[in-house]
Amino acid sequence: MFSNKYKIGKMVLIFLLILFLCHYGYHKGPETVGPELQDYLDNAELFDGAELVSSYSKVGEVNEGRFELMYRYGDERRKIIVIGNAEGLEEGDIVSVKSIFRKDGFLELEEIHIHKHLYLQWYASLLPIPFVILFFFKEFKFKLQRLEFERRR
Amino acid sequence: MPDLLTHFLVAFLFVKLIKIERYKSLIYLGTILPDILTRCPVFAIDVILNIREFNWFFMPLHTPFGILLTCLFVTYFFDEKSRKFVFTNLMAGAFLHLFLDVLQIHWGTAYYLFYPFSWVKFEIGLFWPHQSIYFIPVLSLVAAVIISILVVENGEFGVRNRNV
Repeated sequence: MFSNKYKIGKMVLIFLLILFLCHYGYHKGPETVGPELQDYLDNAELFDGAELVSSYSKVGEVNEGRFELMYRYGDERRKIIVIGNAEGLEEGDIVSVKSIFRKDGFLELEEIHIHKHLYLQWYASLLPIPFVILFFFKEFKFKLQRLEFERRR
Repeated sequence: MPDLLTHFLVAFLFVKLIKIERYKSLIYLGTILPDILTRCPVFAIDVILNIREFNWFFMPLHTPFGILLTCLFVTYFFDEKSRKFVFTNLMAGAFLHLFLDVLQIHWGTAYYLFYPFSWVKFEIGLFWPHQSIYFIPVLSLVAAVIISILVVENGEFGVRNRNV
């Protein structure tokens, strides 16, 4: 399986399989998710009382008993009112929300989770990359004439 | 996803506990590979080209079958006699990554573990992705203790060479 026999052929085949997987995901994936907020708003009567789950949405203005939730509509950023209290919620927070859609164009809050310090996750994700590269090149060297990595002795 | 530092530290502890010496850098590479293959291009395409929905194109590279094919592809960039170990260690790292990922909670999204055979989503739901940063101090401390023990006992990280 790992021999050099038909190496290029095997690499091309695997690459095509990966490409097919990605292509299938790109075309089929969006069909597997439920309707989005804009679909609820466009068919308000139909979705009245239905549950809506929003993941990683940005919070707009926060007032007593209500707050704004930002959502994307194409390239546009729009806002929708969410009725309900969320302890510790601040403008600019990133939240996941479970809510009930109402035909008058607002949401009733069921559950909310505030993703505090989300930006720290991104910084923490950058840190190990140089270490992985360092460990890799400490163990392997690249043979230019064979276009292969080889373990250092 | 938990942050990559958490993934890396868990892989580091895995390597030390199982006592893997050869090809261990590939476990570290494997453990960051699913996120590097998916998040980086999606972020670049979204921010630089302002094209959305490309996450669906790269999503398969964050599934067991997709990562298996990717590791197999990467394996052929190594010399023939190393390939079996390269593939095994890359897969071990990548599956360690996917295992940690399915422990998380998401609302609305989750992981397609059986893609492309099924679109069923799965996750265990123990912690939110951003909460993984709270594990970093504990994991770092355990890693530091292990490194200290190894340095004292085995002379790892070059100490023995200096003493000989």
